[in-house]
Amino acid sequence: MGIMSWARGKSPWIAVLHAGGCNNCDIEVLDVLTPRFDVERLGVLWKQNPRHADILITNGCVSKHSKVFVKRIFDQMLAPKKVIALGTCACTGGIFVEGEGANIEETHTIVGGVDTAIPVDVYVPGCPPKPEAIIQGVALAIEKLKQSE
Amino acid sequence: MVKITAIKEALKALFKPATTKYPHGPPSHVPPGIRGLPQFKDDNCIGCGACAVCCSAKAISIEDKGKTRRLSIHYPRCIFCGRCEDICPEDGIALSDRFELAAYDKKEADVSIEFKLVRCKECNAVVSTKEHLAKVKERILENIDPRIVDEVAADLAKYENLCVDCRRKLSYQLNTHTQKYYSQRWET
Ligand code: SF4
Ligand code: SF4
Ligand code: SF4
Repeated sequence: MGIMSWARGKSPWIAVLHAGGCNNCDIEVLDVLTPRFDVERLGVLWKQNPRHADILITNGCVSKHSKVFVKRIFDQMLAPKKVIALGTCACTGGIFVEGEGANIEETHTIVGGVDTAIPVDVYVPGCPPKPEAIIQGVALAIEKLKQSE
Repeated sequence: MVKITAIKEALKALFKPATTKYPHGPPSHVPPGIRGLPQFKDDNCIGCGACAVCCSAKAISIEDKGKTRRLSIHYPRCIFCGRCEDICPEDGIALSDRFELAAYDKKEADVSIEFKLVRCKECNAVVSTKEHLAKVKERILENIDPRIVDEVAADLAKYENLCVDCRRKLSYQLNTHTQKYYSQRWET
C-alpha cells in the first residue's frame, strides 16, 4: 500500500447521486450526516462534486432517462473510484423490475439496478437501509479504496 | 411525550457523546420490531411457497430440482415489507433484526431452506413437500363434518402421492369423486 492510497483511505471524498427510486434512500443519507451517526468520523468529506469525489453513492433504480447521466457522472470521476449501490433499488431494481442479471425484465421506464449502467463495488440492501448499514457500506468501500493503487 | 424523550436525550448528551461508535462499536439504537433480514424457521416452515407467491419484490424463489425443493430469499431484492411474515400460515418466516447486510458481492446473498419433494407416482410432476401435504391433511380432517371424517381420510390416503391433474383423471377409478358426499342427505 503506497502513501497515496493510504492517504486516500484516510480521507475519501464522497458524492451522492440519485438515479431514480422513491427518494427515501436519499433522505436516509442525510441522517448519516447528523451528529448521531456522523459519518465524517471516518474521515469522509461530503463533496457533492463527482470530479472531486473518490466514492460515489448511488441510490434508486436507473431509469431510461437517467442511465446516460449516471454513466456520464461516473466517467467524470477520477480513478481510483468506488461505487456504492445504496438501497434495494440500486442493488437489483427491487420492486420496480423483475428478474436479475441476464433475464432482467425492463419496464417501460426502469432499466434496473445501478449495475446495469456502471460497475458497482459495494451493495447495501435495505429499503431504505438503516443509517448504520450505510456507514458499514462506506467503511467497506474505504477498505476497497485503500487496496487500489 | 416526544418532547420528554428529546429532553432526556439532550441531557444525556451533556455527559456522554450522542454520536454512535459504529462501525468500531455496537450500533447506537436497534428499536424493537425493526424490519431486518427475513429468516426461515426450520421447525415451522412447511415449504408451501405461499411467501414466494405473495412477495412484493419477488425476492423469494422456489426451485424444484429432483427430489428437493429449495426456497431462497435473495435479499438484495428484499424490501423488508413483512408480507411473507403476514401471509405465512405456519409462522415459518419472520423478519429478524439483522440489518448489516452490506457486501462486495450480491450473487451469494441468499438465505435458503430445503425440503424433500413428493412427486406424482403417475406422471412424476411436482406435488408438494411432505410436510405441506401432512399439514393439509391435518387441516382438512380438523375442519370437515365429523360424520364423513373416516370416509374422507380413506380418500385422502388413496391420492396422497398424486398431482392435481392425476387426481382428477383417476377420481372415478379410485372412487374419490366428491359427488358421493353431495348425494348424501342429512337432516340439519
Ligand atoms: S430502495 Fe426503497 S427506499 Fe430506497 S429508493 Fe428504492 S424504493 Fe425508495
Ligand atoms: S410455511 Fe411459511 S415460510 Fe414456509 S414456505 Fe410456506 S409461507 Fe413460506
Ligand atoms: S419482506 Fe417483503 S420483499 Fe422481503 S422476502 Fe418478505 S415479502 Fe419479500
